[in-house]
Amino acid sequence: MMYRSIRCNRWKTLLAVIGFILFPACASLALNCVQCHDSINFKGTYEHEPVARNRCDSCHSLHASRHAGLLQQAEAQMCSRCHGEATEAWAQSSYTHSPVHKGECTSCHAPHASAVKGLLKDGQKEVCAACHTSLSATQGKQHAPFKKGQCASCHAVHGSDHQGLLRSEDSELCLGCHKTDSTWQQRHNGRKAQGMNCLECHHPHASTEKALLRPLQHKPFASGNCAACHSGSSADGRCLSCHTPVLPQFKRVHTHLQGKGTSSCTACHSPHVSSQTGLLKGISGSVCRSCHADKLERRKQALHVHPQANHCSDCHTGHGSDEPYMLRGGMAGACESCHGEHSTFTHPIGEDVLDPRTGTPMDCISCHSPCTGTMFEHNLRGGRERGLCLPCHPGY
Amino acid sequence: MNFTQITIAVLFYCCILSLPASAADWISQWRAPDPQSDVRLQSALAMVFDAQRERIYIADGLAGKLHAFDLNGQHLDDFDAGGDLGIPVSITLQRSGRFWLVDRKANALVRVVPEEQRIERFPFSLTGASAMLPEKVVWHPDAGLMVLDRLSGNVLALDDNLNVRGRYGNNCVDVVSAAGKIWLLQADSSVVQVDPSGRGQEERIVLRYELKRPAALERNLQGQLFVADRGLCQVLVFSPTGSYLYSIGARGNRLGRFSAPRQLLLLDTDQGQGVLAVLDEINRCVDLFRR
Repeated sequence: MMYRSIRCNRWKTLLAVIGFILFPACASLALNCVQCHDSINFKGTYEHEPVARNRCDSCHSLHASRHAGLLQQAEAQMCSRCHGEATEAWAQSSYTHSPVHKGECTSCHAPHASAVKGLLKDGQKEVCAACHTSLSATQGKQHAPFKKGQCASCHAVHGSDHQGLLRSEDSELCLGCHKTDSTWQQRHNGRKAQGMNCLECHHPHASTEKALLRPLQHKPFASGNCAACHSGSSADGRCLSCHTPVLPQFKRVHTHLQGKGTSSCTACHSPHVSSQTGLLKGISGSVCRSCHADKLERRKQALHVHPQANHCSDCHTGHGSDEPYMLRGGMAGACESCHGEHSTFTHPIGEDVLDPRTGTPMDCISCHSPCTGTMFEHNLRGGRERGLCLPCHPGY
Repeated sequence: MNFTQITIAVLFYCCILSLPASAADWISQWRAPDPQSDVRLQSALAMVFDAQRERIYIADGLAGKLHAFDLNGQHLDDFDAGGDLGIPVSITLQRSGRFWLVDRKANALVRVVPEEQRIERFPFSLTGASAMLPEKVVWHPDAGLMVLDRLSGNVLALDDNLNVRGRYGNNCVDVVSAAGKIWLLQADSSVVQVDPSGRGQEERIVLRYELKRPAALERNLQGQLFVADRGLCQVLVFSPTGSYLYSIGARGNRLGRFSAPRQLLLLDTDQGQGVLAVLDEINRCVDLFRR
C-alpha cells in the first residue's frame, strides 16, 4: 500500500514538472505574439478557433516561411488543413466561386476575428460588392434579398452545381418565396411554375421594368403579339421567317442549328426578354456553357488558359462558319485579329507550311491550345525546352 | 493428362474463341491523301465508297472538289464540275452510278451524272412550310433518297420530285442505310432502326456509354454499331443491343488518330466488311483500318 502511494506521488510529481515546463512556454507563445502584434486585431464578436485558443502557431511559422504572412503553407492548403472536407466538396461542384478555385479564402474571410458571422471581412453585401462592382450600379426597383444584402439567400457562395452559384434550380429557388397564386397564373398564361426558367425573363437583382423584367424585349413580346411566334408553324422556320438577314450565316459547313426544332434558336436566345444584346440568354461564356460544359471542365484542369477564354464569341461565330470549331476567319485568322503582330516573328505557318506529322498546314493551334488551356506558359502544348518542338524537329 | 485438365484446356480455348473483337484487331493502314504526296485537301467533309470500282471519293467542301482514291490510298483523279459543286458537305452514290451531293452554299441537293458530264441542282428554302437545311444525303435501294434535315433534326424520305413523304427520328446527327433499313444516330446517344417501307415498328437502341458528341454511325453485317465521337476523338463499337464493346483510335493527328471524326464507312469489299474508313475534318484526311 505504501509502495503504491509512493509510486502515485512520483507520477504526480512528474506531471507537475512537465506542466511547470510547458505551461509558461504555451502562455508565452500568445504573449510573445501580442507583444508586437496589436491584440485588438485578433478580437471580435467571432474569433477564428485557433486565435481564440491563442494558438497562432496553428497557422503561422514563428521564425521563417516561404509564404506571405509567415503562413506554414500556401493559403489554400493552410485553410483546407482544417476545412478540408468542405473545400473538397466545393472543388467537386460544377461551378466554383473564383476565389475558392484560386484558394484565396482571405478575399472574403478575416482569418483572425470579425464582427460578422462566418468570419466575413465585412457585411455580406459589402464583401460581395467589393468584386462584383457592376451590381452596385444597378438601377430601378431592387429584389428584396438583394436590397438587404442577403446574397447568400439565393447563392451558394463557395460552390454549386447550378449556374450563377444558385442554391438550387432557379424555379425551385424562386418558389421558395414566391407563391403561384391566381394572379401569377394569369400573368404566366396558365403555365406550370415547376421547371420554368424564371431568370430568363426576370432580373434577380434589379430592373427598371415592372416585375423586374429584363430590359431588352423581343418585339412581338413587347407589343403583346404572342401569336406571331406561338402559332402552328414548326421548327426554326418560325424564327428564320422574320430574321432573314441571318439566313446566309447558316449556309455554312458548320451551323449551330442543332436540329431541335425551335430550341435551336432558343438554346441561346430568349424569345421574350433579355439583358444582353441579341436577346442572348446570358454573357457569351455562360450561354455556351449550357451545351459545352465539357470544354469548360477540361479548362478547369489547365494551369494556363487564354485570358479571354470565357468570351467565346471573340473567336467563334454563333450561327455558322466554314471553319472547324466555327472559328472566325480560320485557324490563324481568329488569332490574328488580336495577335496580328505575331505574324512578323512567328514560327512559319500557313497552307504552304506542313506539319511533318500529319501533312496538314501549320497554324497557331498546332503549338497553342488557347481554348482548353494547357499546363504550359502561353497555352503552349508542351514545354519550350524540348517537349513542344521535338516531335517535329527531332534532330535538335 | 487427366479428365479435369482436358476439360479446363477445352474451356480455356472456348473462352479465347468466344472473345469479342477488340481494338487491337483494327490496324491503321494508310491515310488519304498520303502526307508525303502532293495532293492536299482544303477540307475533308464527306466520303463515299464505290464498291464496283473499289474507289473512295472524298468531298473537299471548301475547294468544291471530289477526289478519287483507290484502296491503297493512291490518288486517282479529281472532279469539280467546272467549279460548280458549291460546298459539298455530304455525298452518296446511287445504284446507277450517279452521285447525290448536299451543296451547303446553295442549300441544295446536287445530282451528278458522270456519263453525261453534267450536274443538276435542286435548292431548298430555309423559311416557309417546306424549309429544310440538308446535312446528309443517303441513298436507300428501296426507299430512294433520304436526307438528314439540320433544321428539324428529322431524317426525311423524299419522293422522285424531292417532296417529303416521310419523317423519322428526333434530333438526328447521322443516318446510314444498312441491311435494307435506315439507321439513325440521335444526339441523345441512341440509334433508331427504321424500315422505310413502313412495315414494322421503329426500334430504339440506347448506347450504354457516356458519349460526348456523337457525330457518325456505321453498322456492320453482324449488327455491331460503330459510332464516331467528335468530343472523345474515338470510334466506339457497340453490340447490336447497345452494349459497349471496344474503341478504336485516340485524340491526335498521326495515322490512326483522330481530331474531329466526321464520317464512318465500312467498305463492302471482296474481303467482306473488314475495312473501316474514318473521315477526319481537322486532320483533313481519311484513315483506313483493316482487321
